[in-house]
Amino acid sequence: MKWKHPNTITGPAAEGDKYFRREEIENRLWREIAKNSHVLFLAPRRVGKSSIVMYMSTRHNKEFACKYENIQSDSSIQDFYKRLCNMTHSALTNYGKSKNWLSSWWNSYTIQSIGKDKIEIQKATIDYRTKFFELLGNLKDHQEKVVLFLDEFPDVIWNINNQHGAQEAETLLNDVRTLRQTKDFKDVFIIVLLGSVGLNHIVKKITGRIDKVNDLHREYLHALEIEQAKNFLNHLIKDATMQLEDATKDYLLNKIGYFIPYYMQLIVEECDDMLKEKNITQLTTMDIDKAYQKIIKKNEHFSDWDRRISKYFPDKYVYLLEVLSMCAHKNGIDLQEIYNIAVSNNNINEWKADIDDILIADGYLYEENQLYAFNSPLLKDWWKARHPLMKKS
Amino acid sequence: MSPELIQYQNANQSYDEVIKNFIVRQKEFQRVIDDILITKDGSSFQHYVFVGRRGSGKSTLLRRIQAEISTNDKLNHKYIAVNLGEEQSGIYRLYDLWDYVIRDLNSIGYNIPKIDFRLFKDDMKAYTKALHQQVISSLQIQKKKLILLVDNIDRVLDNRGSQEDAALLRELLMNFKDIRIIGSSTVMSEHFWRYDMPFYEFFSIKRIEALTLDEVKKLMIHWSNVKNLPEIENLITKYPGKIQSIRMLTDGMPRTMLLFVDMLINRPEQNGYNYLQLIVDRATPIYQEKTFPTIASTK
Repeated sequence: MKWKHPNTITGPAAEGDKYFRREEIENRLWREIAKNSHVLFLAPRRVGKSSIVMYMSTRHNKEFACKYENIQSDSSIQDFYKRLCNMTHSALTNYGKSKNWLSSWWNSYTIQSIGKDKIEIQKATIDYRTKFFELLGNLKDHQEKVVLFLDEFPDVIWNINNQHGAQEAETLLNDVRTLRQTKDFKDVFIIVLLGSVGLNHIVKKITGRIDKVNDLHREYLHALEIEQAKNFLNHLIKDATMQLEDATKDYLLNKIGYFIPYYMQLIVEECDDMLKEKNITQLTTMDIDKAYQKIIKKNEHFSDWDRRISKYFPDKYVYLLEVLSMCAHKNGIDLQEIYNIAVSNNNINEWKADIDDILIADGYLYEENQLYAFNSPLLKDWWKARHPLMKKS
Repeated sequence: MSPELIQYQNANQSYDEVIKNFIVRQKEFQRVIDDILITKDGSSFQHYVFVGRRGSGKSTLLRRIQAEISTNDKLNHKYIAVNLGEEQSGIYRLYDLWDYVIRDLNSIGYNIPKIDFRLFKDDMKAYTKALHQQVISSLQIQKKKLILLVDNIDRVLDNRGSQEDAALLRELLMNFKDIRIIGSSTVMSEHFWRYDMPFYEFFSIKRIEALTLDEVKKLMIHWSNVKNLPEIENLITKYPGKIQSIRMLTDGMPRTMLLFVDMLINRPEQNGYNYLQLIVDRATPIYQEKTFPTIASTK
C-alpha cells in the first residue's frame, strides 16, 4: 500500500492546497481595506497570519492591486522605501495595470546608462523616499489603488532603531502616519502591517509613547474555534491513509485544547508517522496519547525556556515561575490572579510590564480579554509536569 | 585486504555507490522524498533539518537525497540538488552560501555571470540579495526548483552577522518559492526554538535516533558482504548478545559502530599500548568536535 501522508505544513506559510481558508478574517480585512483603513494585523507567531494575507494578495481583485512580502531584513528608511517602490511596481504590473506612466516612472531611475566602453554608469544615489511619494502622486492622477501587505513590520522599526537610532525609527513611524492621515494618499494606497511582536511594545520602547500607531485599525487573529478546528482536521486528513473516527477526532482536539494550526499539524504528523511504521490505518485514542508524549519528549529544549528566565531575570524568576505554573495548571490565568501573585512576591511596580515585556514578548503566553494562556499546548503540558503545584505541608 | 567503506567523505562516492550502501535511515529518507514527490506547483513546501549526533548518518542521508533527486526521473526534470557538504566550513556569511550555490550550478553548466562585489561598496545585504536573485533567475530560466542540502546548518546560522543573515534568509525563503532547504545539525540549535529568532519553529525537525537492533543487524550484514568478511555475519547468527553489546557500546551510531567492528576484526597490534594508540587515533575524528566546540566563532 502506498501510504499517503496528511496535507500538513509546519513552519512556512500555507499556500495553494495547503491553505485552509479563514474567510471570516479575510472578509474583515477586505472590509477595512475597502474603507481605506490601514490595518495592523496581530497574532503570536505560528497562528497563521502570513498564510491568510498571502492568499489575499494573490486573489485578483478589480479594485486593488495587491502584493505581499516579508520585509524583516529591512534596516533603514532607504531599504523600506526601496521595498515599497518595488512592491508597488510589481503589484501594478502583475495586475495588468502597467501603463505608460508606470514604465516611464520606473525606467527614470532603474535603467543604468552604458558608456562608450560598455561600462555601466551608476546613477547618483536614489532617494527612494522621495521617489515613493512621487509614485503616490502618480497613483492618484491615474486612479489606481494599491494594497501592500508588509510582514514583520515591527522588526523593521526595531532594526532601524538599532542601526540608525531612535530618531530615524520615529521618522518612519511619522511617515507611515502621514500616509494614513493624508486623504490624497489614503485613497490610493493602503498598507496592512503584520507583526508577531507587539508594535505598541516596540514603539513605546523607542518613543516612550504609542500615539504614533494608535490610529491603525487593529485586527487580531485568534486560534480556531472548535467547528473550524474540526474542519481544519478534515482538511488535513482528507486524502490521507490515516483514518480517524469522529470520536477519535474529538479526542485529538480535546487533547490539544487550544487550536493553533501549527500545533494541530505537529500532532497529526506524529500520529501519521506512528501508524505508518506499524502499517495500520485506523488511529486510536491510545495512539494520540503516545504521539503527544513523544512530541513533548522530542522537545527537550523546553527546559531552555525555563532556564532562560532564571538566567536573564533571576530576581523575577520566582514571580514569573509562579505565574506560568498557575497558568499551566489552570489552563489560563486572569489579570487579578497575576496581580495577587505579584503582591505575594513584592513585585507591585513592574508586575504588568514583566508579563508584557517578558512572557508575552518572548512567546510564552498570549493575552485575550485580559485572560492569559500558553501559546503552545506542548510547552504548557511540559511546564505542568516540570512544576507541579504542591500544597505546603 | 578487505574493501573499505567510506566513513567521512561520502561526496566522493558515485550516486550508484551511495544508493547501494544506504541501508539504514530509510524511514527518514522516504518521508522527505515522498513529500517532495507530492508537492504541487503553487503549494508551499516543508523545509527540513535532521538533528542527530556526529556519525549518526546525517551527511549520508543528505547525500542519499541528492542521489535520488539526481537519478529519479520523476524528480530530476523538476528539481536540481546542490549539496553544500564540504563547502559549509567556508560559509561565513549568507553571501558565501549563495556564492557556493552559484559555483555548484555553474559546474553543471548554468553559466551564471560573476558579480563584482565592489559595485555594492559596503552594502553586503544588497550584494547577498543580488547573488540570490541570480540563483532564482537561473532556476526560473531552467524551469527548475533547487533542493539545497546544507550540512551543519546550525553552524552556518551561527556565523558572523547571524541574526541579520538569518532574518534575510527567512525573508528570501518566504518571498521566493524556488528553494527548499534540507539541512542537518548536531544540536537542536536555539535558532530553531527561540521565539525571538527568525527561524523559530520554521523547519520540520527530524531526529536521527540511535539504530534499533534490527537496523544494526541489517547494517552489519551489509558490511559483511561489502568487506568480504563472513565473520561479521557469523557474529550476528552465533552471538546475538554481542551485537546488542556493540549497539550499547557505540550508542547505536553507525560511524562509531563501523570503527568499532573494524577494530575488533582487524587487530594487527595486540600489544596493549599500541592497541590503545590505534583506538585513540581512529576515534579522533569522532570526538574532535568536542575538543574544538568554538571553531565556528573563531573563524
